Amino acid sequence: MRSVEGRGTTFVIKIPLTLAIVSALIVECCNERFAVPQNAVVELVRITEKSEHSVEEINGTPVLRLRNRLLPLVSLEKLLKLTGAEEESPETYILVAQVGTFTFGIIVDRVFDTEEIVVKPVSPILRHLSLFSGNTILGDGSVIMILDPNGIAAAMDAVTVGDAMESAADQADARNAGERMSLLLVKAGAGGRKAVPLNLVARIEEVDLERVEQVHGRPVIQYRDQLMPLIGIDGETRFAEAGKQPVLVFSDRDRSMGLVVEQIVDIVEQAVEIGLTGDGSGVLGSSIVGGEATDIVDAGHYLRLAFGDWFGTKTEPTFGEKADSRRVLLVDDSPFFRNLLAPLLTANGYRVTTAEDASAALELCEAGEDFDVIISDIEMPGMNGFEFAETVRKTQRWQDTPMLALSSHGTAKDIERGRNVGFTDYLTKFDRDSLLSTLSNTLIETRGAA
Amino acid sequence: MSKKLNGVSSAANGAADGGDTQVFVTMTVAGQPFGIPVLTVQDVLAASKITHVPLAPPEVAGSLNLRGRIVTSIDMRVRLGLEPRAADSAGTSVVVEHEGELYSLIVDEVGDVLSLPTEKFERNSVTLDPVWRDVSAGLFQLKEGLLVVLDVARLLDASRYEAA
Repeated sequence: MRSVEGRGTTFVIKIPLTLAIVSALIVECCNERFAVPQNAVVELVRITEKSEHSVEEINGTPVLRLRNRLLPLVSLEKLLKLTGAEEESPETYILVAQVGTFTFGIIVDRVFDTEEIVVKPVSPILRHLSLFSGNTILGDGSVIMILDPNGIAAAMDAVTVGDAMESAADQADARNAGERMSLLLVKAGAGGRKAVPLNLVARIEEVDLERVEQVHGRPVIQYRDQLMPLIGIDGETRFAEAGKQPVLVFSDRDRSMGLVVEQIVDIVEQAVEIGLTGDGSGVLGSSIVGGEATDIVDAGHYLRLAFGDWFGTKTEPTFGEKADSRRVLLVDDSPFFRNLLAPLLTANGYRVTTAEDASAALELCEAGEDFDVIISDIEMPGMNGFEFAETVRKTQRWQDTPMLALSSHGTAKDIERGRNVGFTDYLTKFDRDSLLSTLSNTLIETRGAA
Repeated sequence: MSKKLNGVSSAANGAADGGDTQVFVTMTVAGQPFGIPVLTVQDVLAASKITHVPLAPPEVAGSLNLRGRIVTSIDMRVRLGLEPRAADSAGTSVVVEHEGELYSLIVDEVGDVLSLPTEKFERNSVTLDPVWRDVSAGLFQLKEGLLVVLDVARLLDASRYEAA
């Protein structure tokens, strides 16, 4: 402290920086304020009745269409069991948050400013609340709870699955038994219920049947300044007489196609066990979904149907290489994923060999087969992906073959472990675009190095 | 006055720190007098702005700011399994420290500070309600009625919430 007579006094205060200071966004829901760490928030979307984006509900589950993607939403009001909401406000905000590779939206009533806050741990008697990472005192002196996006992501899983009355133990079993995935249930064609992996669906549109035009005898619709072919689920296209019909839009690069369905029923998340394998005509197989036999739709089949003449020739000139120079070995225990990915890769000019487990793949190595890249699942019975990679790295023949790990759980720890055992890169299942781009990047890199 | 159990309870409590008397802050919850050792009490607050904590245990009324520290507020009526306070009475808070954290106990009224002889401390009646027996360290017989001495550590034991 220094004072100069007649001028004033200077105070110098030292504050320990051992306390964690983060930048947080202050949001309000049901007249209660919460802080959200800003590093977890990717963007903010404002929703009004007139805005371009709108929240839609599929059997009570809110989703948002945001730039060609379906974003699962969770309402803070429901999540925190808040009460005392005033009348329906004309606008809401959605915080788009990212945890690991999982992106989701949190619905709140209002968004205020950002504030630099000091995170203080919550009292021990509140520490069991996983939705909060701490609390703090704002500039105006009030106490505010800090939301933990990780906890919310975990709770979302519990919210959706909890409705199906599955205990944690069941979940763990299911995870071991098969891949959990979100399925979009639709009603279409003969045979009733069909399921489409939700992550493959780019958008859900409602098409006004008056806008459907015919080109070469095939129905198309003008969609985002392009012609989008429309295909019915059993190959033929059956439209209602008039009015609107829901269409699932599948996108691949710059092309889109619409799969016309009769009705969108629900979104479920569950483990998929393919009971009966389909005959390749648009059905991957059948599975029990929500207690009913349901056909799992092979989206790749419809893409081929819509763009059959384009596939196969499209990517080859860009590489200017012989076709046999891009051989892919796909190792996955689930017939579902083999059937899903193999056509996708074939359609993009790769020659695909599939193996149902690590030992089948190693037999191919013994037999003297060569591949340019190996894509392997992580969760497999018998030898898992990590062990498989270690084994492959020890073989003479395949020790330099690039390997891509494929998994539905892309946590940082998994990725680290994958790199350590010899995987070149890590891919999340279902992400078509990143799968294809990583695949071609890997091939270009290894070629450049060779 | 029956003093059959006196020797046992004061020895077990170990509260007589050399002197013969203990000083308690008294308070009432739904007409029942309670006492807390005066040295554990940090502050007595009038009703203040409380931030509600969603999903918290029911007795947690929320958090408040006491001179830059976050204080967790416990509604004693809910904690003791009593009827909630009437909406028009805000109550008074007694701030206590437990394992480095501050808690405020919302009670109906704060009374006097009493100095009570240690020898008069009695063990809980075995017929006491289990919730009360859990948080009560013992009793004093006063002219006005029985004073229940709160065991702050038991009252704020975090492990019972984690199990729930």
